[in-house]
Amino acid sequence: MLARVAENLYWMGRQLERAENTARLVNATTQVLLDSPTGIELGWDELTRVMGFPSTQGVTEADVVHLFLLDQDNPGSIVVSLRQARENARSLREVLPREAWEQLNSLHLRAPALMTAALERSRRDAALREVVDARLLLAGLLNETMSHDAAFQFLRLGALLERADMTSRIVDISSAVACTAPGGLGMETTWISILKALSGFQMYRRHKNVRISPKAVVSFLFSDPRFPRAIRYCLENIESILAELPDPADPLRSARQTARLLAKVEHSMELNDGLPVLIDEIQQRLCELHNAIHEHYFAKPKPEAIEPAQTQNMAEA
Amino acid sequence: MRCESYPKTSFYDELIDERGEPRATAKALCAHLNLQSAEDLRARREAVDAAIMTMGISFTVYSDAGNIDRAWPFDLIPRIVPEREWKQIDAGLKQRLRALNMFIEDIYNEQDIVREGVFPADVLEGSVNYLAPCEGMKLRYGAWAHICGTDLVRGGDGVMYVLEDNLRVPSGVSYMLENRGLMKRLLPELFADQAILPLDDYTTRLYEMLASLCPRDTEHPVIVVLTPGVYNSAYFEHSYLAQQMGAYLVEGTDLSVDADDVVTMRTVAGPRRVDVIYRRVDDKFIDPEVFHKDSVLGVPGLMRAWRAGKVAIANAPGSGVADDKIVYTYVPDMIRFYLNEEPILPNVPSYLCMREDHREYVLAHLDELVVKPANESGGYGMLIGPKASEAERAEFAKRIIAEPRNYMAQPMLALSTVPTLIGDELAPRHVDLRPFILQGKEMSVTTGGLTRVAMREGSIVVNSSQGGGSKDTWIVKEGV
Repeated sequence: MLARVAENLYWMGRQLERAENTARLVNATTQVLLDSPTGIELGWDELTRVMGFPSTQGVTEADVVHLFLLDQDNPGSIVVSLRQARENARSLREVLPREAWEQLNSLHLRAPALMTAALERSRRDAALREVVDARLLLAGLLNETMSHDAAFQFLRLGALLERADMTSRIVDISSAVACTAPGGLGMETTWISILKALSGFQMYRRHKNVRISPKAVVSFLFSDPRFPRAIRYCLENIESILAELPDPADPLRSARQTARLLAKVEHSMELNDGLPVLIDEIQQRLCELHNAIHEHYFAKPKPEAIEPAQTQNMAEA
Repeated sequence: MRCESYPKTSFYDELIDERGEPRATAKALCAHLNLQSAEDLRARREAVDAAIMTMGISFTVYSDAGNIDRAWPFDLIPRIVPEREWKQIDAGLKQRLRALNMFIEDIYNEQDIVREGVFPADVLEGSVNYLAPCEGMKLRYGAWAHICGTDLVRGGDGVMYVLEDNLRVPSGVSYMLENRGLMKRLLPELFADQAILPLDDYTTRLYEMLASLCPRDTEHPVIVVLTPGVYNSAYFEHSYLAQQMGAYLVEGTDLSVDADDVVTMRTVAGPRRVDVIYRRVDDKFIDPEVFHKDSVLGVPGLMRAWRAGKVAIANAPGSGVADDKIVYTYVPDMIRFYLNEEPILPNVPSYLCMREDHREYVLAHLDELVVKPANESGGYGMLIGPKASEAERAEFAKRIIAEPRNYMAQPMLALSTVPTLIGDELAPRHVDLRPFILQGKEMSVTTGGLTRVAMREGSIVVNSSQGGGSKDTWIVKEGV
């Protein structure tokens, strides 16, 4: 597996996962707000904050939705993520199954029209679901028609890392919205919407509890080892992928350190601001994990330092 | 859609004869088209366009506004060549490439052809594609240009001429294969009741040819396709061929040459040895140690590795010496000299501006001739005399006088036409044909080739970078 190809696969995995989760996140936020009493404009500025934009007072729904779905200057917007994933796939056509390329190319071509439709509330749910469905079809094609070789594992590595990060952000916004809601508004409703956005509502009910409590939901989304969108699930799978790659000690250590943080979730929720601080820490660790993978598998060996005498010769030449 | 309403012109048409009747091999196609309404054809064409978009069959156009990834223009109406004629062409193409490869090896070694006075020394001296670092090299099977794309055109006299041999990095074969795939996907009924020869498995043959060059004795040679990268106009083809062969698609930065002159590629598990490089980078860019110092597309030390026999490169560096429009005019002589045979396929009559008598003729007849620079490809930098303005011709005359070695001229050919769907009508459009020939341990020719079509009325420029399209090419058995 060429290092450059591995890197492009990894990024393609991340970009596709980013597009899917952004669609889920915007849809969930819309659903939460539909349940809110009229006149309440909570949530949209929180959304920009958790996604790493400077919080701006007074942003409207239209601004934020445009920013996440269509903005050409936002590298995380759905159209840009899909375009970048498609550009990466274009450089990977010799390793991807042809049907998978066609599926991604077709999604990329449809995305601008779909996302324009999604600016309207009445058409948003259908349009965003279509993105999620198309991405899942693509994931299915890859899973069922591509050899589960190193190429596949790098694709999955990128997707899992991005998913862990996005799940932490989705929990971040949910807890912020739930906490600031006046009169205890829809505490439960908010968490149900979030679970639904992550396709986790039924799984939560089956495996955790019928009752919805913030602590139980957050610990499910962080620490459940079997739910595929939970952070622990992502990290454990990242570990087993890394274990099969050549010489994985450094990235593996980084993944385990991140996983260790998950044990602190329930305790953090008893502290004032404990959860946001923990989430920041998790995101920081995921970033380090990314750097470790990059250094180890993708980065070019640094050129050896040139002796001063040699430098002089070169200048003369 | 009636073939009868197809306009008659003074050009040779590949499907319709001078009485307006379909040629024998086109009867079934025309009968089928006659049953289709304009709406049917429009729907088919829309389906083709949608398929091309989804499949992402594209090429890149360089322009001032940046590089644009454009959908591949494809016309539904195929070009048909009778099988009997094709057999002749097939033999002629093999004969030609065999002689060209003998010429290249001779030129870098004994130069018998120059010594015997068949090929003039001054033509060689003026060649910018002659690479001194290739001198003294003898290659396996005597093959230098392993992959050749030869452009054929049919003149008003119905004769198929060789227009040029592309021996450097010929492209287009992936579009030929995709075109057939599109036709079978969208018009399957046409294939049901006719004897259209299948396209042979080009990519398997290409793989076998490349594997036959492997310098190590191994069951599984490591073969890579070296591309300039995703912004190259033929990037689609590079990735397509790598994908079809199961080869690695690499860029220059993925490769390096170690102290033992072995080429390795950078993998996630460390360096891995490379045996055969199918390079799609022009030879002057493949090694900054030897050629362009500032090339970032190449691999420092690659020529060293190649000369040491540690890696095979296809096409071999230096093959371009025979891909020059001046050298082209000597190919019939090469065939006689090396093979002691008469050329099966004729050249287009040509005038060399470096020969004083020819130059005078060219300058006096610029309004009748097509003047081409010796080393450009892609249809760039040429003068189409009858269509140029007085000022353009005067400007070109100056260039010819300044650099006679760099120009040759040919009569303006009355290129043959094929009916092409323009709007809802069939209209004649000029075409050429590029078959691909492989030479390694064995030789083979594609069944047919890539038919390129000038989509603009009256135009004879078929290059996709300049508004050309393409058609599926059928080799059809007569009387079946």
